[in-house]
This record gives sequence, C-alpha cells and structure tokens, in this order.
Amino acid sequence: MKLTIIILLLSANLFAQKTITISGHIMDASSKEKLISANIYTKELKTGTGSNVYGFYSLTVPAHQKISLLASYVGFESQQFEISTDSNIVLDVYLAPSKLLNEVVVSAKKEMRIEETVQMSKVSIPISQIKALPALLGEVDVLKSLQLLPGVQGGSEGSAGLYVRGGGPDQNLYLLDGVPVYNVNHLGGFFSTFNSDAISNVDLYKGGFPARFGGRLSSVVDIRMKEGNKEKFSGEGSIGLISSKLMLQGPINKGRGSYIVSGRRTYLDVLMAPLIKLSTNGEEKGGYFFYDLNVKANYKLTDKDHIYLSGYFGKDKLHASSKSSSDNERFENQLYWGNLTGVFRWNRIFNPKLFGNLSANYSSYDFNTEMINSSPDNEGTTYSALKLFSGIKDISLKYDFDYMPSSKHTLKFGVNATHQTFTPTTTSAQQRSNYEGDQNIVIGESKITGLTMEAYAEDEISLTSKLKANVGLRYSTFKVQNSFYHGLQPRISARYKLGENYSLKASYARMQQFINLLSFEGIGLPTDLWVPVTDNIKPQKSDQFALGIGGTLGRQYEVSAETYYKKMQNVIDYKDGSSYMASGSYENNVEMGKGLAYGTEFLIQKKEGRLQGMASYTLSWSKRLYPTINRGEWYYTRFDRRNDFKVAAIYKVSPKIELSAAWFYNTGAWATLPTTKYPGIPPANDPSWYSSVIYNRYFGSYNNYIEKRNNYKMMDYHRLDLGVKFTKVKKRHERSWAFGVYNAYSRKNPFFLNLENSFSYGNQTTISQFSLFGFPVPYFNYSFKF
Amino acid sequence: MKYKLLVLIALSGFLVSCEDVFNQRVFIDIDSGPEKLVLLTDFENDNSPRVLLSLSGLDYNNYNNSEGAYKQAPKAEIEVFEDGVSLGKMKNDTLSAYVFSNKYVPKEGKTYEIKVRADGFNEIGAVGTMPKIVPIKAEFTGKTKKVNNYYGEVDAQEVKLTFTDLPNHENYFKLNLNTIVTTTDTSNGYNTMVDIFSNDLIFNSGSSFFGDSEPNRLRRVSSRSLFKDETFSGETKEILIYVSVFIRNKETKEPKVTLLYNLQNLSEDTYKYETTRKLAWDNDGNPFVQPTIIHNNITGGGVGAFNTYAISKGSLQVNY
Repeated sequence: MKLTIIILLLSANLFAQKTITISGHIMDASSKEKLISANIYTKELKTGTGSNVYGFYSLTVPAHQKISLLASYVGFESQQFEISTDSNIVLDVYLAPSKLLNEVVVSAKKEMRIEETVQMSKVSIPISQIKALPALLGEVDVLKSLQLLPGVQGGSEGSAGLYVRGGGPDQNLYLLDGVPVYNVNHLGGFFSTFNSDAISNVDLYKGGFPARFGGRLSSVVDIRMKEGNKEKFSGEGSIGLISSKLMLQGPINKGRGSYIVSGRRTYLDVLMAPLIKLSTNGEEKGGYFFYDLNVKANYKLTDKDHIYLSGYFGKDKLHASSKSSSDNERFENQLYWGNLTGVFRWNRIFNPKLFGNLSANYSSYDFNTEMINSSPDNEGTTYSALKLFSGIKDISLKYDFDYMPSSKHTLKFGVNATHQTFTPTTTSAQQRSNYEGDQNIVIGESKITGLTMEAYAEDEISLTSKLKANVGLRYSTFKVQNSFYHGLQPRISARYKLGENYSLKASYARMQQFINLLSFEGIGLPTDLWVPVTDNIKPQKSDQFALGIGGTLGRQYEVSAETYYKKMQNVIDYKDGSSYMASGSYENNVEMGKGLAYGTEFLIQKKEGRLQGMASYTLSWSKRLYPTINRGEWYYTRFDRRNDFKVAAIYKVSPKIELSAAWFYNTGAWATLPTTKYPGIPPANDPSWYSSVIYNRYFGSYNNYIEKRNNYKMMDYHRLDLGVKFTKVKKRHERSWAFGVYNAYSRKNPFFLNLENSFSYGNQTTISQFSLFGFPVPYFNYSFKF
Repeated sequence: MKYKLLVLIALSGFLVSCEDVFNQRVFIDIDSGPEKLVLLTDFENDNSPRVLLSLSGLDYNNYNNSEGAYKQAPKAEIEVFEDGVSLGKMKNDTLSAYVFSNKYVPKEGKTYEIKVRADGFNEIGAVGTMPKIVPIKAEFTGKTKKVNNYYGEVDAQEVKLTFTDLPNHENYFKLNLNTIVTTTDTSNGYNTMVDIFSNDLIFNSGSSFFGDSEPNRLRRVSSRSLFKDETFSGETKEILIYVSVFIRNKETKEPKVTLLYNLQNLSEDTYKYETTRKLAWDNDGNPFVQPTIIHNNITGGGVGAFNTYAISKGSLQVNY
C-alpha cells in the first residue's frame, strides 16, 4: 500500500512538468482493425509505449520539441512521423500489412522488443504462425499452438488442455474479449472452442501477472476477437475433413463501425448417418457434432466513445438412439454441453491521458446427460428417464482505466463485481410404469451462489533509463455460503537492461482462486465440473517468483531464459477411491494440500522472415502434498514431465508455397498402477475356522500393491507433424490448399493404461497401453479469402 | 499440381511403410521390484493370534494347493513383545502360519511389537496397541416395523444395540452382525430368509453413483460395518436394527434364529487397513476412480497388516 502511495506522489511530481500528450489508436491500414500491443517509440527521447487491447496509446513527452515517432507492429510496415510537440496531439496511425507490399522476406519491424518490456513470462504466437502450423485433422487450434511454448504441457494425446508451470487445468484463466470461458474443449479436448478465424490476438501469461489479472493460479490466456473490417465487406472460409468454417466481416455506416460473424460446424454426424443406418437396418441412429459461432460488432459513437457488443455460442452434442423393430422398445441417449458468453463494452477517452472501459459480461457453461427408455406393451408404455445437469453462470460488471500521466508512468486500475451461480450436479429420474406407478426423484446439491468483488491498481514505472518496474496490488473478496474470503495479492515485475539487446527480469506474483474444477484427467469429456470454494474447501493461493533474461539475438531472434519457483496452498486432489463421476458433495471426494513447482525454461522465437518458428526447452518439477493422500508424502503430479522440448518451423519456399513442421518431445506422464499383489486377509484366529486357516486363495482376497500415487512413468511422448500449404492469389480472392500429416512416424504415444483382471485364475492383472493416434493421421484443408 | 501429387504420395508412403501401424495396444511389463515380506495378523482379545508370513507376488503354480497362490516366505524368526517385554518366539504351524506355543491371548490396553527376521530380507516389524473393550448389549424393544423383504412385506423385530464410546480420543469400530438358523428338519435353514434392516448412518457406506436422496431410509445392511465415533464422541450410542424372518416353505419346521453380534474397537491402523482395502476392492477395475493405496503399517520394507482390536460380543434369540 505504501508503495502505491509513493508511486502516486511520484506521478503527481511529474505532472508538474511542462508536457504534451500524443494519443490515438494504432490500426491495420487495410481493415482499420485495432492493433494490440503495437509499439510507438521516439528515438530522441528514448521512450515509447504500447497500444492497449483496444489499440489505444498515449505518450506524454516534453513540450516544444521536434521529435520523430516510429510506429511498428510485427508483420506490418513501420511508419515514422515528424512531430512538433507544441500542444496535445491526436494521431491515429494506420500500418500497412507487409503482405500488401508483396514481399516474402519482411525486414525487421517489431512490436516492442522483449528486452524493452517489463512483463516477463508472457508469450504470444502470431495468429499467422498458428494458422500455418500443421494441425490434427487440419483443424487449426489456438490452445494446441500454446503447447509449443516452454512451461506449457499438453494433457493427454490430442488434448487442448494446458498444464502451465506445474499447475492443473483448473488454474488457467481463459478470457475471450475479457470474459471467462469455462469449458475450452470440444469433444475429447481434440479441439478448443476458439475459432482461429475470429481471433486477432493471443497472449499467454505464465507468471509475473499484472494486477489487472486474477482469479487463477497458473496462467492467463487472453484471447481477443477481431473487430471486423471497417473498409469493405470481406470474408474467409475453409472446408476440411471434419469441419468447415466461414467468416464474414464488413463495415457499418461507412466505417464508423464494423461487424464480424464467424461460424464453424463439424459434419461427422452427417457423414456417419447413412453408414449407421445401413449397418443396423435403420434400427440405430447416432452421431456427434459441435458448432461455434462468434459474433462481434462495434460502433464509434463520437471521437471519444466507442461501443462493442460481442458473443460466443458453442455447443457439442453426442447422441445415440435405437428402436427395436420387434418390440418397438426405444432407447435415446444424449450428451450435450456448451458455453455462451456475451459482453457489452463502452470505451471512453476521457482525456488524452485517461482511457476507460466499462464492461457488462455474461458467461455460462452447462452440460446435460439424458438417458431415456420407453417400451410399449399391451398395458401401455413404460417410460424411464435419467437426466443429469450441471453448470455455472456468471454475470459481471467491470470498469477498467488506463491512465498515462507521463512517459514514465502507465497506470491501470479498475474494479469488478461478479455474481456466480453454480449447479454442481443435479440428477432427476422419472418413471412411468403401469405396474409400479409414476415416480419422480431429484437428487443433487442445490444451487450455490457466490459474489466476487475485486479492485486493482498497477503502475509501470521507468525508474531509470535501465530500470523499469510494474508494481501492482489486487484485492479480491468472495462471499459463499457462510464464508467471506478475501486477500491482498501484491504483484511486482522489474526489468534491468544489460546493454542494448538484453535485459534481466524478475517478478513476484501472489494469486488467489475461488473456484475449482473437478475433472477426470484421462478424458476430456464434460465430466468437468466447476465448483466454488465452500466453508470447508478454502481458496487456492500461490506465490510465484521468477528470474529471467531476455533479449534479441541478431535482428530477428527473440531469446529468453527463465527460472521459476511456485508455492501453492489449498490445492485440491481426489482422495483415494474417489469417483470422478460420483455426485453428492464434492467436499467428501477431495482433500486440500500444498503444491510446489519449479523449473527453468528456454525459448528462441523468430516471428519474421522467410523462416519463422520457435524452439523451447523446459526442465521442471511439479509435486503435491496432502494430509492423507499418498500416506501424507510428496508425490509428482500426473503431468510432471521432467524434460520438455518442442520445435516448430514454417518456411516460405515462395509466395505460393509454405512448408511447416513441428516436433514435440516430453518425458512420459505419471500413472498410478499396482506393481505386484499380496495376500490381504489375515488368517482367522478362531479355532472353528482352523480348517480353512488361510483362505487368501479365494477370489478377491489379494491386495494390489501400490507403493505411492503416480508411481509409474509412462513412455516418453514424441511426435512429428508435417504440413504444406499452396496459396494462389487471384485478383479478387485468394485460395489455399493445405495438406499434412499428424504423427508422421507412427509413434505409439500412450493415451491411457488399461488394467484387466482375470477373475478365473487367481486374479491376475494384465496392463496394456492404448494409443489414440498411434498412426499417421493425414489431413487436407481448402481455404479461401475474398 | 505436381506438388500436391508429391505430398499425397509421401503421405501414402508413410501409411503403408509403418509396420503394425493401426495396432493401438501395447502390453506392458511392470517391474514388480524385489520381493517383499508380507506379514498379516489380527491381535485380539478373544483368541490367540496366528501370523501369516509370505512373499509379495503370486505363484500361480501354487494356486490350487491348500494355501493359495501366494509365494512362500523362507523360514523366519518371529518374536512378539508386550509393553517391551518379550513373549517369546512364535512357532511355525503350517507352511506359512506361526502361532504362540502357549496359546497366549493379547490383552486390552497393551502395546505389542512384532519382529520378523527371515534370510535374505531386512528385519520387518510392526507396533500396535490393543484398544480397550467397548461392551455392547442388544435387546428387543418389543416394537416391529414393516420391511420389504425379497418376497414381500413382513414384520421385522426392532433390536436396540447399545454401547458407550470411550471419551477423549477418536475411536474406530467394526460392527459384525450375523444370524444363525438351526432347524430340526433337513432343510438346514435353507428355506428361512433372515434379513437385517436399519436406517442408522453407520451403515451408510458413502454416496452411491448418483448420490443418495434419502440417507436416512431403511436399508438392508451388510453383515460388517466400519465407522468412526464422529457423531457420538464420548457418548452412548444406540443403534436400532430390524430383523426380519421369512420362511419360504410353509412345511419347514419352525427354525431357531439367533442374532450374533460383536463390536470391535479397532486401532487406527486397523481401521485404515480395513477401509482402504474395502475401497480398493469395491473399485477394482473402474477406470473412473482414483486408485487406492492400501494402508500398510509394516516397517522395514515389508507390507501387510498388523491389526489390533478388542472384541465385545453377544447373541440374541430372535422371536418372529
């Protein structure tokens, strides 16, 4: 708190100087789309700033000087402006995409260089790279691309789940236009819910969290949707093996606003329907599909006011039904789940130094299971139905401000309130029977509501020409049941420049989390269940320290090395014998404990040029300690992978041909397996049992010996994906063909282990490993732009 | 176009060149590690204990002999201490069982230590304290309740079981309920169905798959129930049970039905062993359940269970 006051005093002192402010937006010249984190820099004053998530920038400089401003952004041509700083200036900057200049090799034009930024443990992959990388079944996936980054582990084969710096899948905050998205997976986690065609920017924070972010311990994935083309109607789409996509965008009222609509749907159900019908004589139906719809519109009301309305609708449905031709008995089973998010935002430029954004957000996730059986007979119809429902619903209001009083300070502060409604699991069973009458039973916990109130403030301060820091504080409260939880979360990051091209960085962040995810790690089915902390289950907390060095090697290579140490409290895990699918109070199935994660990460990234890509290596440890789990001893988490190496490359052979490859290697995940057996029943002492002194020979009397949780390391994971893309640019449109193969050399990576007990002969156990894509999975994709 | 063809040919090449490419299953040999000595015994106040000593791992060639498929341990020296004083060495009884020569019976409140020395192994052992006996009594209340037997609704006799929890520390119990049917005809009780019902929460072993909408409902109870004194710490606990008797064959001569009950006051180690073993067995083979590590209080690298408990028991003839 004292630090914040000092910062404010310093700011006040600086206000007294004679300065002017240059402010405006940085945009894409071709579409007038705002550019996030674009850089604006003045060489003479050796100072600069970046655009915020709405493309707004503000730079305060000494008055009455002649300066040159250089605006730059990766993949765009830089622009330079000569300016006299006589009075406040509003300068909107339009940068032309380098592609428009018909160049293959783009010269060094950068967003803010890594050695300049205070922020550490933040990585972004350009959307163009994400789209160029080979993908499972050709379905480009934002989250799977993040798995290429150091410190980020994937879950099971093909899964889009993220395990960041030893954290669990529940410790990641996924924000779509600032709104939390709770379920980020489509079926099995093979695809994420984020449609790459609708996305403009993806940032991943693994540590050094600025105070404006909170609510999860391990990462923030900040995804921003495109705004839509303000210049002309345009679109793009693709047709793939299992899904097709279409995105349309265009201006509203001559460029005062714009809209974008992007949809995606799989058609496995349509393709499979005739086959199922044929093979079952029409007695069975079934299928699976998912769809996504992203919509967004924005409108500039005045030069100072801009409004946005955006939403995401996604649904998965897995269904199967059968009708017996002999007795007309019908079974209908279906599983469907989905997210719905909506946000209304109002940007207001109060003055050149103060920018505000008011957001009203809605986010919900629910999953439903229905099993219905009806059988008609002479007496009527017997009908039974079992339905399960669980879900979470958020309504929130946020007000965020960016205040840039001088070139040495950038303050961000804001408040938010979120009302959450949790439905952990409700099961309803209905029965109509001529013999037993009607029965209706509803089982499950009632709804739980929680109220989160938060406030934060952070200041990015230039202390000297070499030393820069971001100091912040977040205060969070959560009211649930009879408990009121609250906590201060201090955050600090600092950068010290070492020469021209490198800097040393350090950070500390405390994070707090008020909700938990109960999920079965083995499969990505929507057994995932979001539940709040309760009177008995306390909020998770973490303290993360990180130290690193980052810089630019040559002109194009961004390199960084970071080491981190993260302590966690009140993390939860399933007790022995707990079922992932059991309902009832979840508190009974889990235990609270401690977590520890530490490691070192290396990354080299090249975002421009004919050859682009990245290589990363992580050496890490992640473990947990609970009072009774694993006999109260530390154990490694399932996705504690000691060595993790990944490399991805995209090479433009010519403007028409692009080759891509990605190779993944990591140490095998852990599993809990019995390693041997032993007799389990002590011999009877009672003499009357003497004739069967030792009856351990009987079925079921042997114990499985498991020395500790996660005692078995599965096979190492490695995989090579290859892709090639042919692009043809016509006068009015562009079209591309992409071909590739996932798991090119048929590595049989473990997906799950299966234990089979032989009940006939002494309860022998056989263990086998199953792969999911242990063979090359080819893909093709046709895409177009106009 | 030629590039596209090249890519397609390359992809096809990958597919056909990979041997056994679509087989997604690989069998795994788990390293069992070195064999461990397995020690299993119950020290209780009702009988002289027997100790089973074997090795971990199963010997399937031995499956059909009288002692089961476990591996036989080398001959060992087993010595037992009571409150630090040696009770002598146990003698080898059958292939793998050891007993006290003098049929010594453990006493409540005493601490026992067992030490096992076998060739080729480190010394293993365990320590356990015999809990105090918690007397239990049973009586008919004279009331009856309608219960749904498999064959329809019948009157069940209400029986009250009463015991007083020991104060000042957490206690662990196992309640055993059994019935014996003796007949004067040749049916050997086969035609007599005896069931025990209760709605006491000590018989509710946890939530079922979809939870339990009526945790207090009258349910048919199993013969053994493990529970802690969380809800009645230091107090007198009364458990109401309902015993139903149904004779399927009307020609059966009226049998004599006896309710046998015993309450075991378990040590914490014994409770943990019994509960974790039950959990492991109940969920064996279920991939949606977190595997259970069975409690082990054997030190020195051994596995098994050194159980200590005090029994109080009785019987009651059931009128129906």
